Amino acid sequence: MVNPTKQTSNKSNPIDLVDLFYKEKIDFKELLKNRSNSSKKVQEFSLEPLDQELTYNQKSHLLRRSLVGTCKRHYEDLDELSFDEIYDLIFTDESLEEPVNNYYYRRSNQEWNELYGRDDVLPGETFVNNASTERNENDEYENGDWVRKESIESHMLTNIYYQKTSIHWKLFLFLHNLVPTDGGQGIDNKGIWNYYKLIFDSCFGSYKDFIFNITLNPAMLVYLNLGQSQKETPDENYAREVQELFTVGKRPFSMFTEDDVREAARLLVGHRVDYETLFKDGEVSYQHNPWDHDTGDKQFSSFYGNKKIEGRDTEEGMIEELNEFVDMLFYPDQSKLYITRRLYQFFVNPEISDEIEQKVINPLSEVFKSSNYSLTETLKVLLKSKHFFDESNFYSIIKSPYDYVFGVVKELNLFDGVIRNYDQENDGNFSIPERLSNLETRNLYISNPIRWSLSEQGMELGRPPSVSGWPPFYQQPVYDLFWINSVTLKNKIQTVEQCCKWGLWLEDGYNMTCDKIDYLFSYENIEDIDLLLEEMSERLLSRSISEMDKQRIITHSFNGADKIHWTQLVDELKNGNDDSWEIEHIFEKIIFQVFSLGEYNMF
Amino acid sequence: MKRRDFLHNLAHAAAVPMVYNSLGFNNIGFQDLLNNSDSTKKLILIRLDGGNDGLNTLIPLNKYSELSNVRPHVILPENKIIDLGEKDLGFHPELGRFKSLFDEKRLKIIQNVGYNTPDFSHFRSMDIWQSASDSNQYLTSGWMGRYLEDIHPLYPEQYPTSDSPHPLAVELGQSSILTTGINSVTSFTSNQPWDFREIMGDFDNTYPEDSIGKKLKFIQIITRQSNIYGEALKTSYEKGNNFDNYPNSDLGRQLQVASSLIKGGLESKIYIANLGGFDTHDNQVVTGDTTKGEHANLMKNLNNSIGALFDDLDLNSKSEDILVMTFSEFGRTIVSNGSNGTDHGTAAPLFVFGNKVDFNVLGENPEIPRNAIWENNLETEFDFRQVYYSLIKQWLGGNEDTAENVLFKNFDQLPIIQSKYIDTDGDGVSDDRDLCDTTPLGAMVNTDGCEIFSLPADNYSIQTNGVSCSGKSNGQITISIQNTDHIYNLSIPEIDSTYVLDTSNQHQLIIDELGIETYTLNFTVEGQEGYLQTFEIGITEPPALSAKSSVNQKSKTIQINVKGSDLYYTEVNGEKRSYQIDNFKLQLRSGMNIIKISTPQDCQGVHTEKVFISEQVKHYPNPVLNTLNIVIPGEDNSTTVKVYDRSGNLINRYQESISFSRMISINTSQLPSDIYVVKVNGQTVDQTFKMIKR
Repeated sequence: MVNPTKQTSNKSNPIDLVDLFYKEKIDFKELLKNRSNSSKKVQEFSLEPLDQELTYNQKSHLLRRSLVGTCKRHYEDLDELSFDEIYDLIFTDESLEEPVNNYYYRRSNQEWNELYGRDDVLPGETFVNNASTERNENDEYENGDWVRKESIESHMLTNIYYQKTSIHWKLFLFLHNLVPTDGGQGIDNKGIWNYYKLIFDSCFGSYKDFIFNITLNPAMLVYLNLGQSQKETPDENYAREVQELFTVGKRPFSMFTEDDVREAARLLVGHRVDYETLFKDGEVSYQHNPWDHDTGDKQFSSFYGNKKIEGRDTEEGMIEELNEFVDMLFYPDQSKLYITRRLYQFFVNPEISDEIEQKVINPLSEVFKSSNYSLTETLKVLLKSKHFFDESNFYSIIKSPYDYVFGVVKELNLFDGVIRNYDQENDGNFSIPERLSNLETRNLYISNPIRWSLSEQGMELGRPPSVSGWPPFYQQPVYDLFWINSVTLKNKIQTVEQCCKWGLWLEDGYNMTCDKIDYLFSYENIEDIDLLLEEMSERLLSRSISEMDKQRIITHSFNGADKIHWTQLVDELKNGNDDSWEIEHIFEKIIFQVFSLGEYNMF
Repeated sequence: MKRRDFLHNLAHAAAVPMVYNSLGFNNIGFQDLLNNSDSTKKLILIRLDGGNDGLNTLIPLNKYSELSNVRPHVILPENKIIDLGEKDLGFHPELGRFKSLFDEKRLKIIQNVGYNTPDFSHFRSMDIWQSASDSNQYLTSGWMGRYLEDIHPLYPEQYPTSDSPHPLAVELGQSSILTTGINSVTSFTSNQPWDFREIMGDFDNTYPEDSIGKKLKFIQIITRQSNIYGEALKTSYEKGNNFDNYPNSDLGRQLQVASSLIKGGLESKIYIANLGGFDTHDNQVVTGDTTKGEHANLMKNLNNSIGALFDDLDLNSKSEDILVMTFSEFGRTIVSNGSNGTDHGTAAPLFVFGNKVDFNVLGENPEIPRNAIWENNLETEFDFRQVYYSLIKQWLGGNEDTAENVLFKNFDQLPIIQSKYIDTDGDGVSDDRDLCDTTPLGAMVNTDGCEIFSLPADNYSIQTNGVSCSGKSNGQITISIQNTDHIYNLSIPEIDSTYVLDTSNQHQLIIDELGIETYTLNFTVEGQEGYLQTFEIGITEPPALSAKSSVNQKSKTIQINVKGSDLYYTEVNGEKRSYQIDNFKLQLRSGMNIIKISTPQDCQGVHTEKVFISEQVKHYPNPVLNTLNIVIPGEDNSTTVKVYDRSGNLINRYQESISFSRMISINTSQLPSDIYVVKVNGQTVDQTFKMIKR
């Protein structure tokens, strides 16, 4: 019997990359040595724009670093564009619609209806500001209606899949990693959406404004306890992290003091989630409670220029205090340097040598500051620069799960794939239920297995391992190597296998595979297997496929048949032979093996 | 095992020839006996992430009224606190098992552990604790990593080895800097050792020496390594997994895994578990009932998990050799905050569990100012590195200067292990009887614990090469000696020969043309009267290869049991592999499979087997009226269907090609009603079923 692997939903804890990384026995000295060698190889440090027609390899590098997974349509978007036009396109912001009720089939189950109550929102209408399912049968507040949560998450993933040739979603991941919350645990779906929306809307704005806004964001008020802080005994959690992780950076690089943390906690106390807004329709919001605010003056250390912020006792006054505080956070040079470094590490290379610090980070941080802390203006300079196009930066980072998984599903055009039901196909009465054929509802089902893969590879939206984000983005000296361990490797290979073989599991019985023939025809030289493999290698791999791997793949896929057999099969296919079973079968093995190569893990 | 027992056991142990294999698990050799006194002592560390509130874990009852005053939100009701019965201290109400372990004299409590100039950042303070640095010192390695590297100076280049076949440390929860050494990471992480699966894609590429090539190489190495250590952990886990009465919590599961690995014979010395969630800024307690809330849940989890661990170890007689220690990056503020929580603080109590601990409470009850505000924090009485230093000296062992090497300076020791169990130099003779308590690691000692002239067992590398086939005298013994400072005399009475190994032959020797016999190798060292090292080495006829197999049609596998060698080569349909175990499973494909098993010795023969794995066909309807449908999974393009009557005569034969739907239909309308036998054959199908024709 054909038995597609059924996926079960992921376990309660996201996998821990650092944990898994250390399971492997690694020679660190060697690793560090190589790392320091590698940064020496950079030849070009100039931030001057390259300003020339980009070659295929340069376009490819730019797309890989700007998008969440690349595929053919993005390359086509760049056709005929000049250097400046390419950047105009990439730095165009996208829009993010509110998710709508595409989960109504999930509600059609009696049990669910009883458990989650009525749903006021009609199919196709937005639900993110609707409060109807937030109380249980006893009219008590309850966390998380998972059907709606799933719909929000699927909405994000679907948008990433269909992203334009724009840096917007990559920046979204950058900000989510740098200033994370745990997806609104404890503040329901309204809070999750509110947080995602703030992150998304802040990508093209001023990072400084964003710090002001995130401080008052309900999900953040809950995540780092500021919302529960009391003026007699203020909670220091947010007061510390907003300095250490979001602006001036860690010690010893920045020298804010414990008193600064305490003063910040006093300054910040009194900003609360407006729970009224959580329980009724409309956007969830915050409030400022002067009676719960420490109205005394706050004195900061010399690190902040001995700044004294006057205590105030009105709502407006509290906002003024916060404004002055955020201004103060950007007063030390450490802030612009820290954020510039984080940008560089995320988009170019996690390792920063002294030379890069001097020649790239320092001048770039001036751009960041003078553009009123605009992430996009800073990145535009960086991604246009000669330094960015130094070949030592090509394929130099290991893909994050988002780069890997979306690279796979976008390349294979999975959302336009084929729905299979092996049991029914065998019985000869194959039908696809409406919920899976209707595009609106279908995405909900497709994005689930994608989310599980992301989770098992160590990075899921709204589930950062800590307020520091994901270790591969910040934990020196290991950095991106953290993405690779025996558990994640296994899952990467399984994901590809599912996409091209059994299909990703949608629901009992139904799987979605890519259209292999369609994918085959996305290549030029398909008759000659050697040429095909070279073409695949050029598009997908960090370096040309080795002759040994090529032979290994052919031997493994052809089961002893001669290469000419492949050519015959392709000819038959081109001449209208409907029975593509054999060629699909061979090609599926080829896809699987090419994507399994270590070279596919680099970007 | 005590070192003097080694002497006793040497003669016996020496009979086992040592065969070195850098990647295998030939884990029997008397190498192991030598290290036994150390490797049986294990340490389980439990890291409490987030900063545990010491004042609500171990409560100084003499300061109860002050505490009520300054931490009103979280103070536990006095009548619910478990009285320790000593020093005016009490446990959190959920720590009943801590109390009983204390009563059983298996708990050491050290109060007020911390460091000077405390740092209040989680990340930084945890780094300080795990790297064992000063407050203002930034280290990129952990103390446990440095310790393991100090006692295994050749790690990782030559590991795994025959005397250290397993990871040096096992991390069960989230990893950290703790086991990162100066040269390498010394631990292996596995929270689900049973879930080991070989990863496909074990490439064998050579990559360029640039940074990208190195990353590619890294991916390749990880694939291989996880296959090797993963299998060792799985084996140990399955062997030792016999106690499941742990709380259903993350920590409970981690300790269950640690215990199972230890019971299953894993030799790793260090096990690290963790429990997160101690950062109780808010909801540490529930309003109205401070015995409930997040902290109470954590205490309960910790209490029950450690309790279960000791139940398990006691039941399996393993508790003698285990020490368990908890630690956290800091305690919490003396004062509570308005969100029913506490903020980042400083010193806190630390707990060490074990049968051999110096059971009591060390340290004074903390001072609680009656009018404490946030700025007031608990005073540190003991530097946490005093604890580490004492652990190395009193439990973990090492060379004389190991503790100083690891922690960079001397610290005053704290009594953690009862003195009668302390064996500072790890020679198997505890300090109270040890006349020489600074014997270097691995040296041979007499019953007074003093070094006698000896050479480590792995000084002699002896291999029996080219074991002869029956009737031939082509056996060979290859000897090479590591310590080349001496001149060695070797006599072998069986062939009446003597040899000298010295610099003239680079301390290497090959003795060949040996027949089937047991040879006695007597090594003496010039100038060292009384030193005699004997090995009995058998040149034997290799047994014939024997193999038993059982086929599982459903999973398409064949389970093979083999005997006769240490290494087996398998070939399944042309695909070759090798195994160093005698029980393994091979994956088959549908259709005919040819399986060959052989060994490096030609004369042991080749075991050949042919196994046909059929796809499982389905057929319907039954009884059949006209059309019989047969679904044939798999990949065959065509099939033969034969219909026989009840006396075995072939009635009909169909040659059908199989379409994409994998179904073929047979018209049976012309058949009379009766029972028929249908045989379906193809390249990968061989199935027979009965069909009733209506």
